[in-house]
Amino acid sequence: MDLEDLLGQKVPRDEDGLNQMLAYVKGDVESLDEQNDSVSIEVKDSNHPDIWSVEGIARALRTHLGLAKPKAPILSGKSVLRVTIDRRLGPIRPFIATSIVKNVKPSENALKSWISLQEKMDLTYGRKRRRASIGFYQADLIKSPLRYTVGNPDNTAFVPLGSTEKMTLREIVEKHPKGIEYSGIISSFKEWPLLTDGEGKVVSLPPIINSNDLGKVSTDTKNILVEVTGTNAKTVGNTLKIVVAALAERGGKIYSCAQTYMNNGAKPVITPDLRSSFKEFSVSYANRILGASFKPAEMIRAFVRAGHPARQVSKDILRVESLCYRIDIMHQVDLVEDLAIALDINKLDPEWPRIWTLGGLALETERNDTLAEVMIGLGYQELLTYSLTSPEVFVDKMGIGHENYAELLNPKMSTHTAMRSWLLPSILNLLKDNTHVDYPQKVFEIGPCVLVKENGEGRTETRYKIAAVTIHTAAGFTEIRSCLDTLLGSIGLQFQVEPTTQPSFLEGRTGEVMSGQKRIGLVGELHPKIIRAWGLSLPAAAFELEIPPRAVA
Amino acid sequence: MELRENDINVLRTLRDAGGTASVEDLSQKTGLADAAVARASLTLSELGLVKEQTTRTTEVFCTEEGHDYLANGLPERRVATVVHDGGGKLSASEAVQQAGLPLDFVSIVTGWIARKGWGKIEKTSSGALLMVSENPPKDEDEELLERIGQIALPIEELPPNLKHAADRLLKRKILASKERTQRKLEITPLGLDAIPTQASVGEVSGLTSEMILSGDWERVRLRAYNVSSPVPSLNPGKYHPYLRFIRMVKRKLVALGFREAIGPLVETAFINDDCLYMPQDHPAREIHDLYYLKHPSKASLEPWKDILEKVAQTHENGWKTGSTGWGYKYSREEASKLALRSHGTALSVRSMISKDLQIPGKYFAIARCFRPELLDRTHLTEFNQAEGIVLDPSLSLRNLLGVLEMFAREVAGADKVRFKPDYFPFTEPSVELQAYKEGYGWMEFGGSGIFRPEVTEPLGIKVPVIAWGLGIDRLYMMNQQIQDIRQLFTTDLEWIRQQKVA
Repeated sequence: MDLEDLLGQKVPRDEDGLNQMLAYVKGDVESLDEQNDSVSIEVKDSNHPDIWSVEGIARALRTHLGLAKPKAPILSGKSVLRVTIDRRLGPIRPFIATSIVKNVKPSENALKSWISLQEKMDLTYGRKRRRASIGFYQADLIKSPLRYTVGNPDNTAFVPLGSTEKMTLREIVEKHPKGIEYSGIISSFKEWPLLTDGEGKVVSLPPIINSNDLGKVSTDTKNILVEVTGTNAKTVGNTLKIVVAALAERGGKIYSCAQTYMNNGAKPVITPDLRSSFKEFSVSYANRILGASFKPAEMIRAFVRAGHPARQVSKDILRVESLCYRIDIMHQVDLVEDLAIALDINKLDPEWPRIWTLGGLALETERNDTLAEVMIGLGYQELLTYSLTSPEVFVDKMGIGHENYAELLNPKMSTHTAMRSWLLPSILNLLKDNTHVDYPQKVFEIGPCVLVKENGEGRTETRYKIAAVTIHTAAGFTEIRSCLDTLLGSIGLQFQVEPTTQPSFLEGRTGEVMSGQKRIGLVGELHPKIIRAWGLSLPAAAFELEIPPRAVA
Repeated sequence: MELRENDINVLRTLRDAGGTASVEDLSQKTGLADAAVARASLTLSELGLVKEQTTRTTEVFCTEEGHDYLANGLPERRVATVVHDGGGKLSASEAVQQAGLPLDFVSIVTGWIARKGWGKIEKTSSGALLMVSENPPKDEDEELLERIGQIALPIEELPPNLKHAADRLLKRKILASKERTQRKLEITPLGLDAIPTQASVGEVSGLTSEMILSGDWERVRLRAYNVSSPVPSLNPGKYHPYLRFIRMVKRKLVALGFREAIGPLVETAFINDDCLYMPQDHPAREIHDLYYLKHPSKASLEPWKDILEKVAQTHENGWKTGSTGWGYKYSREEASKLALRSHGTALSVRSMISKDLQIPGKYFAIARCFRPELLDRTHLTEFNQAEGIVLDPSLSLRNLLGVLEMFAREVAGADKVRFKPDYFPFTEPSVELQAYKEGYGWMEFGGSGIFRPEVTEPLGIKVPVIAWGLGIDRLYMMNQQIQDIRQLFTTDLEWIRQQKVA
């Protein structure tokens, strides 16, 4: 395993043993491949790119396992490469940061790891290359100064990576797989970002693709130019730090480059910035959060294992160093977690909170449960169905017109495209699958529906409804009306049933349920057309009600 | 239920017919119309007094040709008779003509006479010569033909030799067949018991109010029932099995002092994500992980304008929380987008911004959540999460572990617990709960953490807030040994009816 070489120690080969060790980096074994002696790991922390590579994981584990002290990556010197930045990039993709890592001569494993780190960072931290994207080049082939400029999509051409033909920028964006994937980032601009070298050769079309001549890094490449472009200066700088630090883990020497932004004539920006950051850290604050009483010296030892060199500056205050690639440290509390992991959370003694609170169900739940109790007493089986369904189910097949319902922008399945506005269709959708099951079938559901409102908070309202269906050879209005009366009578609600019409129900056998002036539901015999539409063949009667507010005394 | 006269009539007739009879038979024997028998049989089968059986039979009947032969005899019979009556020896073509049959029957008829052994055939230069010395006896083909006559006969009811005959005649197109579905009723032991005996004096089958009041019960003999015989099964009204489990979990959480919170299924990105310090360009917020609404697509954030400003600044630069913030430009437009609630933690936000919030406080919710997933054995697009918070100035990470340990033991019935560092954008420290249960091994069971100051402070909360979530769908599947998560929303009514309540 490559990890062992980087770590300098054997690692377990069983899943549980690996998981125990990987807990330090919030990693989980996804799959073990014994044949190739490799393991695939899910690193959960999506804000911790310095451990998204085998180099980073090895570095973090080295200090946690006590194999080494944390060591900041160092700058070996200045490279001769200068970078100039065209002011026209301002609205397009203004920032660039570069560095040359010398003496790398990567192994196959190393190359694989770096490409994978590049992809993960582009995807997640770089927000699919929109905010930042990384390029690797053969440093020795590129003549200074590197120009970060703009190119005309139709007049500029080069051979993109993995191709043999010269293509214009527009051809690349329209035809090359990477061009198609990321075209959205630049296609709306008239001119596109372009990197050319001192001899005017095209180096890359950021953030789409490198040149095949200069941007192909192999096991023979001794010196690598790392370039990051993007729309956020901090993200661009951080991305560069993390990548060069990973390259340096395998013996590479980091050299800086100077970036000159043409728009302000300010002095050049030197990258990468490998300086650590420091935070004042309160021992008592940490102990309060941990519920513990660790001494400053214990904390310092734990911080070192967590990769943070620390020293005490006063009775309660430690000065904690976060190495340049620890961009996840946003707040003192992030250091507390690193401390807790290094101290092993399983060594903390769990304690049930010593506070007294009154438990209870929501009023709505109490009310729903009361209704369920009566329905069950009436012999009805409770159901659970999806509230996310489709208008075909809750509009078309019910014979009613399209009303105002909450519709998804990005449905994943044609059967789940909108939130239902009533329950009865969901129940019929279930009954249609049960024509072989013993009748009579008497079922009910109490479930959420979503109603669209003209205004008001959220523009929608989630409202619980109750619906019941009885279906058998002799099902009819009187039977369902008896259930309705029993249900509403049980909760003490005054109501009347007035004649009405509704296309899902039989005319002359349909009533609207009125509580005072308010219409709260429908009761009736289902229309034979609807029964047939659902593939059913027996008489069915149903009611559907909004849950009466505060009906229970 | 009181049996009607027709029902009893059908039951009796059935019994007298030996226990089984077709609907047509019953109609004939009872003198009731078919429809009346059908109605009675429906009632009786619902009560478990009779069992309906549907049998499929094949009936054979005479074709037009068959009817001709029925009247005039089979061709081979007619020819054999002509030959016999004409002296026992005749040329085949002559005989066929004399029998009134067309000439193309010669080879068929000679074939059958030979095959049936009715006579001999001699080939001569002028054609075949037929010899029939005796009038052949009636054979099976003829017997069957007579038996069928003008009616249709089920082939299954024929004796084996006539079945062969039927096959032959079918092949010769003398008979034709049709499929027929026949409904038969069979009386059950219960049905036998239900037939009122024409009470021999002093024996009655049922006790009446009158007998009890008058004391007549002392003078009669109640007929004994067969108490061991099976009775009809019933389908009671019951809780849905998964909702029953959810109610149990709620009871346990209430017993631990948690108050239930509820909230809408449609939320703004502001409540669902921003208040939880998830940056607006966070990969988990992209269209793949959240169901956004097309209609209505946006909502006003006016009700939250006080906290909106603080949340926005916290995202941008950390506001007063002591954090660096995410360092990007916060968009109020993005915040106002409507989406289906994607995690139960949105409800914890609802609890924290509620005017009824109490500190110390413990809140929980069993939240229906939605994510754009294709349905398979392990994914639902609509699922449940149990979520909650604990708020108090005294809380620490050890309390968080204490809460998790209590859940593992009380709610999941776990034997042992252990903790692993975890990551959520909205908690720090974050802890994964792993529970060990005999027979199941170690399982990931929930996630938790202490809300980041970037979450709580903009909402005006100054005390530590423990946040936890339990994989309640998976816990139920484990309890019920369900392998496929789609079973939670199954449309299989039989399965739902059969689930045990214990």
